[in-house]
Amino acid sequence: MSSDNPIQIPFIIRGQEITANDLLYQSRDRKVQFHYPDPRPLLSQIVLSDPTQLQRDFAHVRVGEIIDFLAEAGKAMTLNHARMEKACRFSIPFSALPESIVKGSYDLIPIVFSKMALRTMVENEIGSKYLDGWVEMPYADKIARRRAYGARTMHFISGNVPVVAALSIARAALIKSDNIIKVTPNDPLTAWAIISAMLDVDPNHPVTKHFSVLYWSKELQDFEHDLIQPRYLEKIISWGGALGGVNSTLNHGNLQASGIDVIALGPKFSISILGSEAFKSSNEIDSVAKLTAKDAGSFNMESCGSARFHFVQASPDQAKEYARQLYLHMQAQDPALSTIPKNFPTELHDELDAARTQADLYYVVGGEKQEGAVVVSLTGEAPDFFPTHRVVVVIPFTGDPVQLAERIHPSTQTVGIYPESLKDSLRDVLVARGVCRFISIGHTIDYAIGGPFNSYEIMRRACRWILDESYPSTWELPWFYLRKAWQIFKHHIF
Amino acid sequence: MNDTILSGTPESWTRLPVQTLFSLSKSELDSLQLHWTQTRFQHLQERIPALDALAEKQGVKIIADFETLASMLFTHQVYKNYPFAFIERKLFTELTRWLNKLTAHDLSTLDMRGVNTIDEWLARLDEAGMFVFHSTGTSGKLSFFPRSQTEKEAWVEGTYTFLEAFMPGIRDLHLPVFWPAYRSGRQASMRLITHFGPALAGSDTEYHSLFNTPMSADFMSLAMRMKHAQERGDLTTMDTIKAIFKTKGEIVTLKARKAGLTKNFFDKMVRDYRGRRVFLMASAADLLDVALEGLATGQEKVFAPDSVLLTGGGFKGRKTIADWKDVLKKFYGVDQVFMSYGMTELNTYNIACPKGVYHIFPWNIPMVLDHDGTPLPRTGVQTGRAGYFDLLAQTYWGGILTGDRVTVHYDDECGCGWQGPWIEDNVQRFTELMGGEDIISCAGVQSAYSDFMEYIAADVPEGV
Repeated sequence: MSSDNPIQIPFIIRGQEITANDLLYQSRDRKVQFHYPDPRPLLSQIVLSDPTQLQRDFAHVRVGEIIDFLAEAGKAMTLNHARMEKACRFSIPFSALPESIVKGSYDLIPIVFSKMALRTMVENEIGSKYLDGWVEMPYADKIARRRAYGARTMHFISGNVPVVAALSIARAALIKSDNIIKVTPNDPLTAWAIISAMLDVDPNHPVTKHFSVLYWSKELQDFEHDLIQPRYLEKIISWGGALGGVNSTLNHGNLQASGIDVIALGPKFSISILGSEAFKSSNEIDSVAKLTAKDAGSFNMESCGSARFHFVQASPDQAKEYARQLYLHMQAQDPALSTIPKNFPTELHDELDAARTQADLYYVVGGEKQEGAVVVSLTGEAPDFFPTHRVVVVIPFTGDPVQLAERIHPSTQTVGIYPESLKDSLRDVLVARGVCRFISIGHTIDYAIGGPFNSYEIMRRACRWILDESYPSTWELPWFYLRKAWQIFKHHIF
Repeated sequence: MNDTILSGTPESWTRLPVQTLFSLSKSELDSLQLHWTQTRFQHLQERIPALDALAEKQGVKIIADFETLASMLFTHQVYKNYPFAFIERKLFTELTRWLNKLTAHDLSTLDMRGVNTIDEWLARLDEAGMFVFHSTGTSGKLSFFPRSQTEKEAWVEGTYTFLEAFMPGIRDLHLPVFWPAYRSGRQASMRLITHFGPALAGSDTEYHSLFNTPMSADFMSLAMRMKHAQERGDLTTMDTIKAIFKTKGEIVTLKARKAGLTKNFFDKMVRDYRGRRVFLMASAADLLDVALEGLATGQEKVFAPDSVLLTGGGFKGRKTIADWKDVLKKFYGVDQVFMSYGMTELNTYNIACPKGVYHIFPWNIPMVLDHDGTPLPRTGVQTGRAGYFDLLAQTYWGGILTGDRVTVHYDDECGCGWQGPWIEDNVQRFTELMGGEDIISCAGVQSAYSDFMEYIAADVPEGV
């Protein structure tokens, strides 16, 4: 993209595409620039000021119909279609990921929008019966029914991988919420391409009418203030930190105080814990390293699931051998998942150079160029730099792995553990330290679409869960008791 | 090397007048610098393990040219890549072992028993003949530069030569010194004022600092960690740090004393030294804080117009005041605000000439590298990442790769009459240019330190 002719980023406001060159976005290094419409005059269209509109529009729309609609739209979300191709082409130069991985990630979008994935997603995470109607709970003294409603939701999505936009949109559509999506400058088009595909199928579908995709700069603070008000929004889902950058000046604490439910996602990172069994022989070291290399290297460490720190119950020599094998395996990954990183940070390169000068403290494998490295901390203390761009830190330890718990950072998301038997003793103590997902090594990135996503329970949390309780009148009592007896019998006995 | 005016060792050059130092032709300077670089390398390679490791990695046996030298620079992380746990867990023997890899002195027999703080560690090193400078720790972690008494004389003389430019005859002259900050310390500018405060003033009583206490390396380290924790909203770390200091009596009393001390400092300047020629040196931010406070109380033109006001550091991390130099002139009453550009890694500051650009003393070799670390030719005008070799480093390796983006002029003259390479007055940190978060520089340190002190003291009941 030539800097003389910045691209236009269109908005979609409730089924209508808006294009204008009102404002110019420029990143500080000037590498990213685009024109976009001024969102300020559009405020009244962007917000859903009448909340009952949402319930009216979805009153008779069942989850099954939504799945059919999304799956139909999903057919136009492959890279063969011009809009998706444009989104992909735009994000390639600005993505931290190389082209092969970015394209591989776009190929996941139509899979997210397949009927199978959508159905699995909604049934596993919520259960469509809660979205389509009231579900009675087995209480003895009353009739209590529960239902999940969509909410007026603002999404700050991250731009590190396009599948975040796809998952955010699919989930939001399935739970029948009203959605305002703020895109990030490094991927301003993927969400637009997905919603446009829906627009083509039916611009008046309730799902389409309850999606807006837009961008505004942090400088438009007044606009942001006017938009993000409890009278317009019930929920904010914010991807941030290491994933997408904090793309707003808002203070989450203030928002929470205002009554808007903020679902803050990120930033998190992941680790591996390898027991002494992994170091019994060179063969064992090699086969373990082959698995952890995938956990560490996938998406070039741009993912929160990337295993950046490997705690190894090993001697320094064993840890060094493991580091060498890990490095070799990381250099031989599937190019759709891991390649030589782009834009290897000078600062990190300098850290590696510095580490090499202290041979008693650090053992560095690789990192001479931009390919990534494995650094063994021979003192068993974590170095101060944060490993990114396929640089892994190996930390040897001795003694009971349970003692590691004290060293686990509260931002730890996934822990890959080997051998499996080690999970039993570690699970509870690690949960207490903030960990939310355990996995067998080699499978960190095997997210099943529709399966539980990092245990965050985003879909459940994005719903408003409503309770309706009623009590029977005297003449209804005999029939009521009979019914309850049957319910309780069914619920507790079978 | 007897055919040049700089005939002795680089240390001895520091006593020569600037006119002599900036009179060498390019080829003369190049061959002299290369000769001394080779000498330093031969002398130090086997005595400094970290240098030996770098030489082995780069396959360097002799520094034959400046390109080779450019591949033999330590990144700034080399001076701070000790595990932070060494400090948290008071492993000062291990920290000493780390430092020992960076110096030609043998620190392996130093006894670190009883050392519990960074200040105590640095004091123990001082006693052993080291003269370690620590950084401001803007990244949240202090760097330690293993200078020693061996370098001290050249550091003093080089600094005098630098000061001569603003105050001819300074070596024989005494002026009252005002320093609106802590009295002493071991951070680079604190080392400077600890020595030059009393030296320039001619006595301890004519050296006036805002606080009478030294600046603590431990507090500075914590202040920076606190600042980082605040920026990240990391309440756990903030509480931990706060807890460490709740019981410290000195901090509690500092808050109560601060107002009184500030007033004394002001009164002394305004009442007792009004109209006199003085020497003022501090970061621009600190000088400005005092000036704004003074102007608010209606004071101005405090000192004689030929007083020396020397500053540097800019306002990174703070809001810039466009006419800050005028504000300083108005309050302090000086005709000129002298600027310097330096860094902890180099013994002496670069000197600003009347044209407003920075000339590099012949004992410092400037290099410019591109983004990939490839050295750019030492001709014409080059912009890129700055590297330096400091020939005054005799017991540690003088080669340093900075995070500064500079524009160096190798061939053309700036017009002031001095020869040799010069740097444009537009030095920037790469982290700022890359769209990353601004890091606070020296300019913000004093305020971060003070904010920290107030934060720590905030929960302590008054009158304790």
